Amino acid sequence: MSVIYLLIGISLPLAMVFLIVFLRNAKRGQFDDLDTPAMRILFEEKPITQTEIKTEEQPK
Amino acid sequence: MAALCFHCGEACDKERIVHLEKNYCCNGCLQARLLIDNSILCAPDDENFAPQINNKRNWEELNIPSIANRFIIYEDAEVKHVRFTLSNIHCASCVFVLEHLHKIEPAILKTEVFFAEKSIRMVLRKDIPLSKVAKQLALVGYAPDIETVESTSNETEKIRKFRLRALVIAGFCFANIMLFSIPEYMDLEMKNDPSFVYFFRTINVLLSLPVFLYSSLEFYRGALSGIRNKFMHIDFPLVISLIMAYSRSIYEVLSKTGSGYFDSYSGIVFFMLIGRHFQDLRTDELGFAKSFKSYFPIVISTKKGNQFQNIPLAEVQENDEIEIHNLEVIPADGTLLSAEAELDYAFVTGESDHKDVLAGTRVYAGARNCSGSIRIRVEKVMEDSHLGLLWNKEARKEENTERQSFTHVVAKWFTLFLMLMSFGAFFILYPTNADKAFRALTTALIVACPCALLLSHTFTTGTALRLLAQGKLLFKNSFVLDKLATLQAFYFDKTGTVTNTHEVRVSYTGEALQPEEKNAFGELLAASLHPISQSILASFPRQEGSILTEFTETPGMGASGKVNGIFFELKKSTDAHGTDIWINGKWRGVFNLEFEIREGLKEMLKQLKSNYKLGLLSGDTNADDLRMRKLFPFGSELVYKLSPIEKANGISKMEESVRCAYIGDGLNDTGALQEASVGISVSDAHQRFTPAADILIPGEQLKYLPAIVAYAKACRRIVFMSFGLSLLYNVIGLSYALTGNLSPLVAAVLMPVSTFTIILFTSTATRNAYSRILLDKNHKRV
Repeated sequence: MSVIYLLIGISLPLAMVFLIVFLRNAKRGQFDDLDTPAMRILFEEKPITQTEIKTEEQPK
Repeated sequence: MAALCFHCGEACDKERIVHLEKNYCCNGCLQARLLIDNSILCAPDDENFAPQINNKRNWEELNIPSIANRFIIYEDAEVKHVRFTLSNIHCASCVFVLEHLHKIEPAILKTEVFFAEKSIRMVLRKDIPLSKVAKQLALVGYAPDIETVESTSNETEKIRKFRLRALVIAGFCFANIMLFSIPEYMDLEMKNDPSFVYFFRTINVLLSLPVFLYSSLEFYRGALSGIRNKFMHIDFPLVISLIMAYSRSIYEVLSKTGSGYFDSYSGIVFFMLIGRHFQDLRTDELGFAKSFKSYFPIVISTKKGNQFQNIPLAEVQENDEIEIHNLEVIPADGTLLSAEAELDYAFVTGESDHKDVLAGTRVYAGARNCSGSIRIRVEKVMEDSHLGLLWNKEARKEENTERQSFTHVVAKWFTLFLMLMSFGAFFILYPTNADKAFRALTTALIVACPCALLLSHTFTTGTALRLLAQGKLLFKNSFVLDKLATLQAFYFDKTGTVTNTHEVRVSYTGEALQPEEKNAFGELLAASLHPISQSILASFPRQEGSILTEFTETPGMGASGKVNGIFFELKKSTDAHGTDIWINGKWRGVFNLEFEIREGLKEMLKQLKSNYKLGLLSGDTNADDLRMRKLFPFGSELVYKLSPIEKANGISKMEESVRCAYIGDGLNDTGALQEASVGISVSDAHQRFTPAADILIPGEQLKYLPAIVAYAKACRRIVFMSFGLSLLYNVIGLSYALTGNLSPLVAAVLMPVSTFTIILFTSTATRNAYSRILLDKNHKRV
């Protein structure tokens, strides 16, 4: 059962690393905008068709 | 043959580009349309998708350094970063168009949209002028909102961020402490080995340190401010509980008599912080952040030396000569220098008829110029103007309202009672059984936490406000909801509130027009800039192919022109109540404009009549009295020709005997909105503007007012019920704890259980009430 000292000794610091990473990134603004990144994944890139563009100069 | 541009709607006079059988007036419009067409999410071919492209404005004011600096957030040798607020952002398609702007304008390097804030951050090449960027944004339908004065709430931002961090740390520690407390709760072999026991307890002590020293800081601050200012701050009993629980736990561990209550201690802190954080989640505070300055132009054409230059509004001084163009708002009190002017004072007094003034007359800030360009000598700058002073009387002490609220009063008395009982029990038990005495004291303080009472109010109103905000009803804070439930009278403004200024009914009396005359008339109306022409235009379709020649417009008098050979004249009627139309020199008829009454208002007023006093306070003349008498139920008070000050005084007098709500459009009734217990501002357009209002309601939802009040009442009932529930917990737990027989373990468990049930109950009940009262059948959609 004394292995529990080792297990806790590893897992707790590991959990704290996650906490620190979270706090650091929250400070940097990663979590300020949670809606827009969700929309960005829906975008598609269609090529803009350049066919049939005629330009005329209108008489004044 | 003048074709109309498919993108912006202007005539293609200079050049015409054809693409897929649609005409475009310039390459900019074409590129913008192609970009929008690529964003598949909004329906671009839908006729209802009309992004209000304004090609005419040139945004020159953004090139003035002092104004540009408001938007530039970073600058270096190669690039500059700017931030604009775009109120038109409403869907994912908007995000697509804006983030792909770099495809059609190479000087824009990158755009990032912040959807919730409705703003964008752009990285631009250093050399591009901001006016060009703004024009590009306007071309795709998202003109930047530069008139809004930025509400710099840096303080609240910092507090919010701190609270979030405190919350996260408390949550982390709470979860881990709970994990390490498992051996205590379960009957495991481990319990017999003292070194294990000691190990877990030490970890708990260490984990609880951040909670004690960091996460609880805001509670300590609150309690200290209470002590300093000599009033019972709501955090004070909480801090006492926390300190007692913590010191007792430390004592137990150090003296090896027990394991303490670190899990319940950190749990209390965690849940309380969640409650506070929940209060912070206010959706869309933008509506309350605008100041009245956003209605004035940001640059004024001012005479400097011999020339007129565009000067920022803040730099205009007394005795300056300024030029105000057609349809601009006059930004300062002054004297008219031009021969004559037609002014619209609806902004200031609520009167819908325009005033004709001559040279030498005093003109006031807030009037809209409906003549051509006029010159004015400034007498009082905006802040000191009549309107500015009226608006600046907004200093309201809201902290006092909070302290007097029902929740705080109850919590205060409850705390005193609790302290008395706990310490009383302690001193009674101490002589006979010291250990039991301590137990009684600490468990009593843990179990009977007034925080459950606070949470009731916080969670109920927090949930309610968020649901209401989703339906576009913005409440300033939770106390407004309470006040709404206890009203006794409703007073309405007329123009803009009861009537909708965006819906004009044009009636025509006179000789009927021939079909070819009707078709041609539209051309003349479209060319005229006068608001009356724009309103009449709705009834006259514009035909492609008509050509307007010999167009003249005399602001204040009328317009004339020849279309398809027919000579039209639009002139103000001699009795000044309508507009005459003359065709080929012959009088044909007169147009009369009337603002439509909002639909559903009559039924709404009838519903309110049974429980409330009703009244109308209007700045307009009583010309409309007949319509208003038909609208308001018998027995309502209808008063006309009131100035903004008279309205405010009227309400303040009313307030001496009844609790009133005042409903106005916020433009000229700031005073009344402030004086009323609840000030409700009605708005139709995107620009929401509330100098002193407690509630913002979109025009089309005004008819749901009775339902909204019913909901406020329901929420109040829910708060009382959850009070009752938490009192029940407290009474049962407390009476047991005071005997000294309550095991701290059970006390520790009861605390989060009671908190959790309160939160669950209030959130579900509030949501339930919302769908029951505000969402049924034909009522508002979510």
